[in-house]
Amino acid sequence: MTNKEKFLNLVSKEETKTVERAKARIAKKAYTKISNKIAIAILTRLDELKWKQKDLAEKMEVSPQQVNKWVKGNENFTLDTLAKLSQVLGVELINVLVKPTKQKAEEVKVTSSDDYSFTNVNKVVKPIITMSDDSLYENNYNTLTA
Amino acid sequence: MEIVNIFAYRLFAFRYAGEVDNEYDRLLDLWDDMEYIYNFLKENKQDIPKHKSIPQIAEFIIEDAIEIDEILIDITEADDKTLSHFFKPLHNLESGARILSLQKGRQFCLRIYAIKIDEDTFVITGGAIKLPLQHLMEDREHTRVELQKLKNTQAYLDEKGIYDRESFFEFLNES
Repeated sequence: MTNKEKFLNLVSKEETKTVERAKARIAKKAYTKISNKIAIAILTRLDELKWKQKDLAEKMEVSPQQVNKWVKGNENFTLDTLAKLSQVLGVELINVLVKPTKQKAEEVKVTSSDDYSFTNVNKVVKPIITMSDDSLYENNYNTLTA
Repeated sequence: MEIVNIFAYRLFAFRYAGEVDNEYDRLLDLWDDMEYIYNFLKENKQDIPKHKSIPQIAEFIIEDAIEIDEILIDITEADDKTLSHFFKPLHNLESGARILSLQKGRQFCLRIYAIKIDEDTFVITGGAIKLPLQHLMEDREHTRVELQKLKNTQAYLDEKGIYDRESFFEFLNES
């Protein structure tokens, strides 16, 4: 009998959910990273303020269990909650930086054309002016062709 | 103690008496609990380099945990990759791996410990957060416990006639 065969005889018949649990964690990794960072920021700030979780619960008018859920990470915060938390804790928990991602947009395709020419046309809109004698002065579009 | 199959009859884990989960599930859940991570880092601040903060190390841990899940799913679903690529012998009970991490500038703070059964079969005995400035496993209580678990499980397997030629292994997501 090989070492592995002897080993397999010791293995429990019970099925585990390890693969499913790992895949579920991977599936929500983008959101988990953010909620975990927020949790660490809250815990750091509570220490700076020398507050307990129950102090924050009172100020936020939520249960201590709710605050505990926040600091464990994995909480899907609403913007409303984050804004209120930022105000109560006196720190900025959301910092929105709009910057282009390195990833190219998939739908954008650059193609070339063999026969390409253009005419640049600028149209200037001139209004119809009502003169003091009730006559209309109408200026047609001025068309400039490049 | 009990051994359970966790990934495709290639990777197994111990479940110890009194624990609901096997060691892999227990550790990955623990490393996903920011309250636990934060308190652990505060208690072990002496092992964090001066130029790194608790939130920075916490971020490394969050990334490491996701990476461990991804790598293990990837290896166990692919036929051409063996677990031996990622489980490396515990040299000097860890100081070697730590120095490598520091040289690369990126701290790898999570460890999964295992015993090798054959080239592509490992059984996880436990794991730990091992901070950059901690040298040997014997240096801290939480890793001393893990070392003891490795020794106990090795003795258990030995008693059942399963030999372990190359001693202890750890999962490295640095390669």
